Amino acid sequence: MNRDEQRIEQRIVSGLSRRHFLRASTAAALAALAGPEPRLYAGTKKIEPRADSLILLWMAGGMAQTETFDPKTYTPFQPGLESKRVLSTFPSIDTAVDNIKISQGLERIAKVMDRATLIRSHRVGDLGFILHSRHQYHWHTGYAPPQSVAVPHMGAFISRTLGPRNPDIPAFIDIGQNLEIGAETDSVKAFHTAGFLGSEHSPFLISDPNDAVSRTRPSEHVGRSRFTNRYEQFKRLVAASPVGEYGSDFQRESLLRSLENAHRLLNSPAAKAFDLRLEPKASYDVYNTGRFGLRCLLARRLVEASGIGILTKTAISVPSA
Amino acid sequence: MRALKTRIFGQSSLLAVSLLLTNRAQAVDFATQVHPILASRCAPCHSGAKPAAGLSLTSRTLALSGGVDGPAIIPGKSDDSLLIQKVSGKKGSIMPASGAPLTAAQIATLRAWIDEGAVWPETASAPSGWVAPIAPRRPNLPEGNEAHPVDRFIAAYFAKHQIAFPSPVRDAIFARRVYFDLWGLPPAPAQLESFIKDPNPQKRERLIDSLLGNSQMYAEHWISWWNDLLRNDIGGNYQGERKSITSWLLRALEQNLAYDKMIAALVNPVKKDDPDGFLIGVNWRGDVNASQTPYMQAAQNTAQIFLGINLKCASCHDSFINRYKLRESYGMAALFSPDSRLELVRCDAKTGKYTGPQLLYPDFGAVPENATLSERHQAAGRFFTDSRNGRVARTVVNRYWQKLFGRGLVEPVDDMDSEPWNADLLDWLASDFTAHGNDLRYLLRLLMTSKAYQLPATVSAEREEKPYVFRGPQVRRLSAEQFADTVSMITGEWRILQTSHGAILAREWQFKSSPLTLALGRPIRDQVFTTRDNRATTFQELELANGTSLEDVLRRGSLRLLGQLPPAPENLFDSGNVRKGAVSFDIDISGLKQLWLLQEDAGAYDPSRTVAGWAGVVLIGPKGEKKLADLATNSKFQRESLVADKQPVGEALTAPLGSRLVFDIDGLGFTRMRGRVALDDRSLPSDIGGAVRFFVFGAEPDPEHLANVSGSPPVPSPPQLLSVDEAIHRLFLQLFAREPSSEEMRISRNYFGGAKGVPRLEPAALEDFLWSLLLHPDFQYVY
Repeated sequence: MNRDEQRIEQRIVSGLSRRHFLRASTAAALAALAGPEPRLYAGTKKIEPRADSLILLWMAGGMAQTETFDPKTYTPFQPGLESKRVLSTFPSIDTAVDNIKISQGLERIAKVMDRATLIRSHRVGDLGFILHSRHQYHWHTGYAPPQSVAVPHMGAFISRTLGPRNPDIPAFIDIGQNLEIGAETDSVKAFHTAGFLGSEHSPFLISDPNDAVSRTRPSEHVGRSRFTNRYEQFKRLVAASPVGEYGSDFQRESLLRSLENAHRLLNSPAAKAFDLRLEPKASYDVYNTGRFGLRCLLARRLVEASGIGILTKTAISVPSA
Repeated sequence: MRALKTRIFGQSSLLAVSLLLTNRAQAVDFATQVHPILASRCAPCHSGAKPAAGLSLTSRTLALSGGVDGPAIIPGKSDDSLLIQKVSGKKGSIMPASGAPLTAAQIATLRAWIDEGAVWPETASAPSGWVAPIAPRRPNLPEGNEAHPVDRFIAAYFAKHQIAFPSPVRDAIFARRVYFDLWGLPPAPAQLESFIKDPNPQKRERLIDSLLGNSQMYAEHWISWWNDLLRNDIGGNYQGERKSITSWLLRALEQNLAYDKMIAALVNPVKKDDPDGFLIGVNWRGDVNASQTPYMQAAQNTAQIFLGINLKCASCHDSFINRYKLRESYGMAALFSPDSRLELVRCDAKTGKYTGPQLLYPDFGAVPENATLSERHQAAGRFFTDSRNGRVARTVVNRYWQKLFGRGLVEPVDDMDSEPWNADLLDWLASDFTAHGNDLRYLLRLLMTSKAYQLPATVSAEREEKPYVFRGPQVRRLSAEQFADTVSMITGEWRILQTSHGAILAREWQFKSSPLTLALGRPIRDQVFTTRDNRATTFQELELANGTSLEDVLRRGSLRLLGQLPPAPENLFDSGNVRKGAVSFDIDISGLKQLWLLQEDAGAYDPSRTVAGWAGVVLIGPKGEKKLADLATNSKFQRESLVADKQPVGEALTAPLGSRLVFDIDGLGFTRMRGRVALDDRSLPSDIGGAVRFFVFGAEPDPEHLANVSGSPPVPSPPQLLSVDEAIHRLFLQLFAREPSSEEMRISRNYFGGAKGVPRLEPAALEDFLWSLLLHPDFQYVY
């Protein structure tokens, strides 16, 4: 591991520990488990939310849990090994938490296991054999399709419930999901919406992290000065419109206001966070393992921008595929 | 290595205080802070028809009117509010009567909420005395001077509400409205001008008739609304079943199939081309919740679409918000299920109770439980087209009224149990519609020839006034398709649709959704959509202001309008989409200077692992044959042996999908090129899912025009723009249906450098001008 990687690791490991959080919730958890039935949470101690941002790393396509976070007996691979004897083909390693082992190869995650909650017990009903999009829909929204209503992405829930709508950065950002290619596009599109919560809680889609800046800046073809000038001309043109009686129409006002917000976002210095080219090369190289790594880098930059009060209550979704 | 230690965290009182401080920082949010308390700790006893102590806490009205001990809350006065006194134990027995008392933090929340005025958004309106009739009804026309029947009702309504009947809008506004409402496109300047100049007093009716008479333009606009309604979409691949009904639907609209016949085909598809996709619904393989089986979906959707009844809530339990019961949903589902006897599943638990097929209105007849599926479909067909079922006509008439006026006679349009603002008008329109054979074009004509439709549009406010009073149509936002098609119309840039027999220029409805159309409100048609959400949001405007979809069209469109778009070379060979095997070709290449060989991704699952190439390709010239692989080129390729559909095709030139192989053949005298293009069998496994399309060009192709397009664009291409002033006038007429004012003219010329001398038509300036006009509110709405 080089110095830059060490530095990044140190930064993560020395950050706020979640053991603190686990301690606080234990009392409530024990109390809930003690009774014969789950108790109504409204009456018990409230867990104080501390997260400002949520980064969801969605790794579709599935690494087998027995080779990653839920290792079983190590049966080293040999040619001719009967498939029924295969359990885990990697040995397991200790982690920062007693009695929790994960697969060899995940050493860095093992070091920060004390800041994680590992869930091995999730089991879904039969949602169709190897049917990615149906499971993805379920995971992203909490509901298995088909549904009788357009169900929102969990990011839209967060945007609706927590987000004061920040005019400069969207409350819900979706990095890396290309909705236009692949075999399951329509079913994938179906859960990347704000559904019944209303389109203002839609995800802000950035399909290519290297291109993220283009979503938050005037396009190269148009360029900043032309972009700014034409918007100024546009406003003058609108002001000169003789469609007098409709001037105060709520829909028109709302359109002009939203356009103003869009332009503010496109000219905002906060949007520097979207520009991967501004990341120091050494750090960029650590993340540059492929598309997924760069998406993670973008997510980190966006969350860090919140450290100076610009970005709060953000939900970011980063798929792997 | 750090072990996880457990310790009881004993600072609960501190937590409570900090929560309190947090809550005080901003106004209490009823939905997330107050409602959970009321719903979980109070409503179990204080709700329903006989709430404890006569006090229901399920709405503000009921909380304010209170029970035997008086009002529960006094807005602004938490200390005096009975609710606070009871939960604090300050008055009589403490509430809640069972379980732990409310925490200090919860009581503080309730106090704060009451002191802030007890804001309680009403989610359900107070029950009114209105009972929606089932039977059709034909009231008499009100007395009056108005010739048009709809106007008789409106005149009487205006008189009652002391509203003066406004004058109809002028010709230009009328024409723009009518064109957008019937064709989904604005009138071309020539059409607009000839309409305005026409002296015929009947010209408005004649315009409506002529637009309705063009079946193709009419159908290609209205199909989007019907696709939303019938949950029809192209290309949805749900790994289960989903079947498009597009060809039937388009034909039904073009041929003006009567509405009752449409319904009959949808719920009882028997003929070969009938739309069985409607009942098939949206399916996934694997377990499906009992409330979402295809037949439950059919029950919900037929009830919503044709009757304006919401059975979705009643698909898991008796509905909490309307009068429909679980048994009724299952009764309707049994008209569409393989087994005619269904077990009711309540909240995912089997109840042990069963039902056979049961019509929602039992008076309309019983369906025997031993009826076959075909017989039950027929029963459904009869039910929804029964002449005694006045709900069907009222529902569709109301939907059309909403489409044209912006707000239905009944709102919401999917809750036809609600009271209309003019029941006589609704009932008359419904019975007249039925009397004229359930003719949808007749209905449109009837509504659009009224003076009511021609009234000036009303200015919208953020919230509708209560009670609603009709004053005229509302200002309506253009749909995604109207926007996209208009952009294409004014620039001449249409999207290319690949069909089984070539490529054509097509209107937006024929394509899958794009980021632009999604932003403008095109829905994902997994559910029925009867209205669209296309309100302006920051995201929508981001897409319009800076999105690539619009930018690309404007970039090319400007060049085209200025006559500067180089004609796209046509291909000499197009393999079509190849998902397996090889395709032979033998083409004439005489006189060509270059060969451009393309292999484009045609929808491969993993294009990076797709292997495809040009096998055994030879060029024939005066000196004999020459292998393609032996020609000099700068392009990089591999040589591999391919096997296509289990047949070896020999050595091929392969390259990654999306690459171009360019060969210089100037002066080499070749006349023909032949060989095969092939997709290697290694690309067939489902995790690669190879799909490739090969092209041969004689010059650098236009990446957006690879397939040779046949036929003409949906509307005639606009003429080339020759001067700045002409451009400004033309675009104003096309987009706003009016001439620019002198001030607008001055500002518009500035786009073209007018402030600094003679304005000039340059592509960038024209792009910016087009952009401004398209984002202008005068364009984005129908007035």
